Amino acid sequence: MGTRVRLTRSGGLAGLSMVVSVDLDDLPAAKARKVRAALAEMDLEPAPAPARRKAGRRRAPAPFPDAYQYDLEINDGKKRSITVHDPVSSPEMQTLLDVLLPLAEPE
Amino acid sequence: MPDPRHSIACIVPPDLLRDIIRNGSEEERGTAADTMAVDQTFRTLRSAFAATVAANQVAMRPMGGMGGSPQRTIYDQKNSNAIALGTVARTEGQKKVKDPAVNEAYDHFGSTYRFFWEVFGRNSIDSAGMPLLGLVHYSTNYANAFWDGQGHMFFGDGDGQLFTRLTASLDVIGHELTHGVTQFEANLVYQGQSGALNESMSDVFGSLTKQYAGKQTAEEADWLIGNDIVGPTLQPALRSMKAPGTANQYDKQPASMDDFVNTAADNGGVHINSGIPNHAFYTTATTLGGKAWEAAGRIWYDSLRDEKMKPTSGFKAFARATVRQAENRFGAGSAEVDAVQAGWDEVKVKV
Repeated sequence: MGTRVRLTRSGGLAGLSMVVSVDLDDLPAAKARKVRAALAEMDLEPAPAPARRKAGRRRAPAPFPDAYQYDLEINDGKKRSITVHDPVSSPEMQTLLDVLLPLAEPE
Repeated sequence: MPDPRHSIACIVPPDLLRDIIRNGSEEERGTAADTMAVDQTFRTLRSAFAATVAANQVAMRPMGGMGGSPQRTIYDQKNSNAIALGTVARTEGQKKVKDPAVNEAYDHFGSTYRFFWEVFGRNSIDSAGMPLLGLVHYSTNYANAFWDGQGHMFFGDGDGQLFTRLTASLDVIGHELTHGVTQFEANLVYQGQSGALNESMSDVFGSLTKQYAGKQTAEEADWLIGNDIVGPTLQPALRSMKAPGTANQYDKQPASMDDFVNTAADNGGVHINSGIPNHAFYTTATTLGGKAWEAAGRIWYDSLRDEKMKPTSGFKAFARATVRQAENRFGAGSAEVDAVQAGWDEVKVKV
């Protein structure tokens, strides 16, 4: 199967959620290559089962007030995810944001 | 050789470790980049600390002002993603410059400082003359503004869709500075209900800053947040304290506990459920009428500093604090206490 990537940017001063969900095979080849290369370098965690993903649960350090929250979910047969906040420190995550955010739409 | 990222993470809070190198080659993003990032972080911390000490020394001079004057510095980040301080664009007392973003940040910092000083006698964010540092033109077409918990306010230029230039809004700058005030008072955890309360504090005092500057009564105020900086997607405003959920086509704010939103997004919906305490404040202020900062604002400010408030406090704990503080200041059975009670009744928070 292909690789499905879903990115949600939430929070920020506006509190507006922007979502993009794409199959990498549907992206232009150069962009898909960039995304695959970035994903290969990233430290992703197995996605929590829905029942365990409680609202309000947090593992990461305290986010800055009004900083954007990014939730990335990958499904290529195996589900993995990661949540980060601005300012983004990983160049790989920044690459994903640069490619995917322009495709995101308000939820 | 130990991984510098791990050894550093032990002594520096992880959220301080921010990346510097974005545009370099793969090789440039190695250990050198990590070391450089840490150097920059320490430089930022050192300079902020030095500035704080300098300002406090000024405040301690006998004739040198016991508060009442802000210490503003605006930095131009020149569209960089770096969090280290950029070029100084305007410092306290300097004349207007050409860049409107710099002047807006400077002027709105001044208005927010004046609001907290003249209304509550609070000398800056920490109540001890903390310098106000604004970083404008952060990142490229960045549609956001945030407070970093270390004394810096970051402002993007906007993407033209969600936001235009973020420095243009007085209530948004009041909102960001209030995040700093909250940090030095109840220090509400930015997650779930305490996070929504933290957000609401910023909207309440951000809106009051705008009302105070415009000498508006509760009836005259628009009770909107960010109406002067929203782009086409979020027209006509970010949030409405008068009518939560109606500010724009995507506004999902509830106006009462009946519609409280459970979500993992947005740190547990902090910008969504803030509609509930926002509307309680609006109801209290308009029930009393007149200038909202005089009674309602005073009660909310006293409550943010209430000794029973904890970082994890939610709506109910805060509602109880407002009743307690209204009784302390205005007396049991006063119109102010009744108005506070009416505010929480309206949003179905049981006191």
